[in-house]
Amino acid sequence: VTRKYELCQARLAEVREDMETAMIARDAHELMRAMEAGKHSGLRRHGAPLHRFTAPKAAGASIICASTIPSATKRIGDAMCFSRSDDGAMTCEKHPIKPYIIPIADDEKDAYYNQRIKAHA
Amino acid sequence: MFQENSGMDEIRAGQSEVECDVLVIGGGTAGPMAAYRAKKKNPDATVILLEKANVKRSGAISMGMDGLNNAVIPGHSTPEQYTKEITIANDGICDQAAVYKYAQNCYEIIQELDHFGIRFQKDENGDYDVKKVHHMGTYVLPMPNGETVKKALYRQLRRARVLISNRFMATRLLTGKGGRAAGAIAVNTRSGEFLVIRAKAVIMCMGAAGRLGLPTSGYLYGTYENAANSGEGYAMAYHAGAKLANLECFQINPLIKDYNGPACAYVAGPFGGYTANSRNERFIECDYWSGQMMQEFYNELQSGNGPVFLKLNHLHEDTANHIEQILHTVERPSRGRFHDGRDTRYARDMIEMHISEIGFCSGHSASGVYVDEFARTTIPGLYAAGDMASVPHNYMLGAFTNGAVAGEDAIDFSAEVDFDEFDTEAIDIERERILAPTKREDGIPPNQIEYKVRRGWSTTICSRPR
Repeated sequence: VTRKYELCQARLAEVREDMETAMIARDAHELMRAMEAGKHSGLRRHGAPLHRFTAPKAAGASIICASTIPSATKRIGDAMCFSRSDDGAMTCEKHPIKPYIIPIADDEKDAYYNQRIKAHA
Repeated sequence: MFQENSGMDEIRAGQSEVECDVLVIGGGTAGPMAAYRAKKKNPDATVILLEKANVKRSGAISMGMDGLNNAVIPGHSTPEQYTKEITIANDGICDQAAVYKYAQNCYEIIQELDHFGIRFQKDENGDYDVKKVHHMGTYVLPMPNGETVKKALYRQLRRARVLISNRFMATRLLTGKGGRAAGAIAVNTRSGEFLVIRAKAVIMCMGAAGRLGLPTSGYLYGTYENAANSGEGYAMAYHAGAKLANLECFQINPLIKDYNGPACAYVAGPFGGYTANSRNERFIECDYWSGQMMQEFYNELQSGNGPVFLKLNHLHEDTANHIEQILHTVERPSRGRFHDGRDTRYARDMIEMHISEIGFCSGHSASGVYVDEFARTTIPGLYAAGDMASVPHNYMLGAFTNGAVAGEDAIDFSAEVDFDEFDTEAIDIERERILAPTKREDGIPPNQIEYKVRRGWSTTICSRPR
C-alpha cells in the first residue's frame, strides 16, 4: 500500500459521502446523470487498487506486461480477477490464463515489442 | 421533487413489471444482434431489448462506422493467424478460446450484415477489399456506407418482433435465490418510473466504461469512447457477483489533440498516412493500436521529439481530401467542424496528436466482465458481450459476433430453466437508493459529483505510484 493509494481512498470516500448524502436530482435528466455518477463511484473501487499497476511510463494497453513483467516468458502468466464477496467487500485473485489453443512460437512473442524505427543518423 | 417549468421531464411515481425469456440490456451494437439472434433461434420466445436512449441511434456506433478493424476473411487471413496476432498484441494476456471463436464466426456475421444492406468495400472482382493495418496480418475492411448500420439493424429487430423498450436505464441486476440471473431493475430516463423485468437469462451489452477518466480538454462528454457508455454494466455485473477480469489492461488511445477522436490509423494507414514526430520522422513501424504502440508514442512525447502528429500532408491532395471526407462524415462529424474551427487541413498541415484519458473497454483492451467463449459470465444465466466483456481487440465486429453467440446460448439456456425467485425487498432498496437525490431540497448536482470522481481517477488513481 502506497501513500498515493491511501490518499486516493480518502478522497474517493469523501466523494462517496457527498453522493450518498448531498447529491440532488431536480428533474429526470439529472436523475439519469445521478444514476450514472453512482456507477462511476462503484467503479472507483476497482480502480483504486489498480494504480499500483500503473506503469511509471504511464502508457500502454497492457500495462502490467509492459512495465512490470520484463521477460517474454513471464508475460504469459496470470491476469487479475476482481469480484464482490458476499459481505460486499472487493476480492482480488489471480486468474490463470488458460493454455493456448494456438501456440505462439518463441520468435513471435516479441513481434509487437520491436516496432520502434531506429533513429536516423 | 422536480423543478416546475424547468423544461425537463418531471419525475413520476410508478412501477411496472414484465416477464421475458431473455432480457438484453443495451441497444447499441452487441445488444441488437444478441436480441435478433435469440429471437431468430426461437421465434416463440419473448425477448426484450432495453435501451436507455433509443435503439435507432444509440451506442458507440450511433453515427455509423468507417470500417471493420478485425475482419477475418478467407483468402486474406485465418482464425489461427488472428488469434495469434491478438495474443501477441495483448502481451500474452489472453484466454484464446473467446478470441478464436470470434475469429471463426465473424465471417458469417460479415455476410449477414452484408445481407442486411450494410455495404463493405469490394475490389473489381467483387471480393472484400481488405487492408493491412495490423503488425502481422490483414484484417481491415472499409465500409463506404457505414452510416447505415443502425438503421439496418433496427429494421431487422422490427422484422424479428423483438420487444424494444427505449428510455429505460438498467440500474441493478436481480439475482435469484438459486444463484442465477433473474432479471433487472430499470428506471425510465424521462419520467423516473421503475420497471422490474423478470427474465430467465440476461445479456448485458452496456458498452465500455468510457466516462471514467477525465479528458485533458476538461469536457465531461469529450471522451474517446461514446460518452453515453458510462460504465454501468461493469458496476452492475460486479454488484451482482460476476467476476471482472484484466482490469489492469486498461485503455489509452492516441487521438487528435483537444478533439477526443481517434487518429484513425485504420483509415489513414492504408492510404499512406502515419504517425510522425516533430521532425517529420516516422518512429513506429505499425500504427495499429497496442500496448507497445502506445508505449512508443508516450516515449516519443517524453523524448523531446514531440509533439506527435498524424502525417498526411505528404499525400496527394485528392488522397488527403478523401481521408478527410471519410473521417469527417461517418463516425464523428464533429471532427470536421473541429478542424474547420482551427483551420487545419489534412492535405496541408500536420495534425497534432495526444494521449486519451484512461478508460475500461474490452472493445480495445482486455478489461471487462469475465466471459468464456460462449459469452457466459461467472453467474449462471448472465451473459456479457461487446465492449463490456473481457475479450480483447473486439471492436464493432466483435460486438456483433459475440452478441450473436450470447443470444443463441442464452435462448437455449432459457428453454431449460424456469424463472428464479428473487428477494422483492431488493426492489424497495433500489427504489430508495435511486430516488434519494430527488428528495433533497438542496445539494450538489450530479455533474459536479461526476467531475470530482473522474478528476480523482485521472489525477490519483491513474497517475504514477508514489
